[in-house]
Amino acid sequence: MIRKNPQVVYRALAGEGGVLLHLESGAYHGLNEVGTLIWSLLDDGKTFDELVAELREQLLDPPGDLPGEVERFLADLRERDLLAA
Amino acid sequence: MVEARGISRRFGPRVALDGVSLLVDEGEIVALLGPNGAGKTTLVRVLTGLVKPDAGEARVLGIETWDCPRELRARMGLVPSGDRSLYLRISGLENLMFFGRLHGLSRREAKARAWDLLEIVGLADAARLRSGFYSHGMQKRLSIARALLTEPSVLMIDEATHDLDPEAATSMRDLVRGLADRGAAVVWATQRIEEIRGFADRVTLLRTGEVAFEGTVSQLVAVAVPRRYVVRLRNGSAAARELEPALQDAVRGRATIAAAADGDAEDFLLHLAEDAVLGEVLASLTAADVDVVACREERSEIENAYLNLAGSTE
Amino acid sequence: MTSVAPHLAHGRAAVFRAESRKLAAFVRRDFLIAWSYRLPFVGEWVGLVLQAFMFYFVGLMVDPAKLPTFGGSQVSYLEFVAVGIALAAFIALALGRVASGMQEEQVTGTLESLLMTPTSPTTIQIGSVVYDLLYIPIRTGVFLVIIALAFGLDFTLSGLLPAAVVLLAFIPFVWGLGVASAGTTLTFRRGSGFIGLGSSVLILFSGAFFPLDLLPGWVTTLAELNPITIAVDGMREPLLAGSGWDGVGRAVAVLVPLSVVSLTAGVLTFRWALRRERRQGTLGLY
Repeated sequence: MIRKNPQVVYRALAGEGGVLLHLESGAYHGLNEVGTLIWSLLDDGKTFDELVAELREQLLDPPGDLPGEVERFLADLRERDLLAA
Repeated sequence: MVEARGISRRFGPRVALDGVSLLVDEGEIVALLGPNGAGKTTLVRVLTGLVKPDAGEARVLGIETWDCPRELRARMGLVPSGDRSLYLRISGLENLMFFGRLHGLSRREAKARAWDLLEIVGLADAARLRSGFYSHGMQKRLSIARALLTEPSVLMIDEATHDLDPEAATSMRDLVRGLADRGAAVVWATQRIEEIRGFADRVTLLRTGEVAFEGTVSQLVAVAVPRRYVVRLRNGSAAARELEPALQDAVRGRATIAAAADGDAEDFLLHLAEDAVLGEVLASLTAADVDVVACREERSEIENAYLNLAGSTE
Repeated sequence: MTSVAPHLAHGRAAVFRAESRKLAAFVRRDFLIAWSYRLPFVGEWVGLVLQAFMFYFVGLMVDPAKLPTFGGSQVSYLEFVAVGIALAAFIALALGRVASGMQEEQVTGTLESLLMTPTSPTTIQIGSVVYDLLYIPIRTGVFLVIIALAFGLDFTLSGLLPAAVVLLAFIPFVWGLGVASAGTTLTFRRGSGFIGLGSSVLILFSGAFFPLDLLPGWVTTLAELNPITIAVDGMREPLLAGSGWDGVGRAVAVLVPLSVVSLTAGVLTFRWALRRERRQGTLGLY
């Protein structure tokens, strides 16, 4: 199950996607619009397959290797301690 | 094209980098911002294979930078910080020709390429002058020319515009933008935050070796601007300082206001809350019988963002 | 606008050729730098000539009978010591320049710029000394010719080539010491001093300035094993005794393996130091 780190807050920016703030480290991490969408889909926690399926429904033009792209994005989030362990 | 993951590096007891990650795709300019000692130069040196990280992995064009084989060095260009790195007893032309030949160019190719680059960076007239006689700015331009000898796929630039006048700095940025438009991945380390707007695609801000922010320039401004203004107020009947309590009442909940430490006796520092609108706050001051004579941002937005996040005491 | 792409050779032979061609760039660079210091350039020569004058006048006080004979003939002190002066100057200059070549790159900050090019550390190391390794032997030879002509020294012309061969076999030995010294300088930021001191002792006990048989017997025996002694004798014999190629083979047979060991040890020491500095991140710090 993929869940957000409770120490992370999200702030939407009009026209700029959004920004995640890790309250412990004080670091900000910018998200583009797709990143923002993925973050919003993780509100209640999801499995990887559920996440990919829901993304595929919501994106107008999903990339060819959507699971691969999502995996890379999640790896980046994990590296920055933005997801729950 | 440039990938740093969890890079940490200490020098003795001093932590220069702590878990820093950075990703630069082809055609992207990523600004590496931060005050002195933030770790920018150390990160650049890790990415160019000149320093081995204690932890983490750095790859450029898929190759680990610590190994830094010839193939990688042939496709990377570095503009180092500081003024050292040129042979000051020989001319700018000879400097470029020498490094061109180390890149495998023939003497003729190196000479032709050197003249082209000297023209581009505006040093053609000083080509045959000993580089020790160049000004700091000219030496920096020569250093940039050297980094461009073989049209690198990856360019690491550490404080390139430090000693350049505004016109030369703009032309350097245009040059680098042109390279990025042709597919180069650029890491642009700088303390000059005002130059990244409209130039860098993304920014990573370092603070004492750690990432304090990563995202677009607009996102940086949006999250980190404390929204401070200097307002000049006048009330015919009372000295400005005596107004402070009344002013604070007028703006309560939407801003804070206090007499400015520097400047005129009539200057106040107005700090807006997150969702407050400047016009409405000023209107509430006017409603409290105070004339708002002038209003200006205390610093540029981007400078505010930088100082706020970098934790600088400037 | 000239269009360029990375010029990278592939395959060992091609890489070797490409790296060798880069040495010409180093020679040009260092010649231009040396020429930019015109006064010291000339001063070096003046210093050597003055040294020759000093030995000439000292030699007037030396009883030639105390000197060894060469080819059955008595030689003057200046004839005896000329090869020693030239070789000692060669060693001092070569060691100093080879050791300081890298240090200069580190101090000026150009070492990192060199390492950012697709040039092997070995080429960089050789490149930093190749000009000196060409110039210094040429200077040595020219010096010998000048003092021979100026002081009417009786050198055998046919001995020039055998003497040059001995010198060539000796150069890598000095080069290796210099490279090892450069490695210790890279790490410790100062010439270690040990190698310089060691070479001064070797020069003193080499027969360069006085006959070895003036020393106690056991010292003479040890001194005869000294590579510098072998080089001095190897050059003196053909020039003073007209011995031609006799003895050159023996000198070269001893010097070549010593040179290989010295150069190998020096290069390995330097590479270790370079890797250590990169690992510590102190390469550009001085």
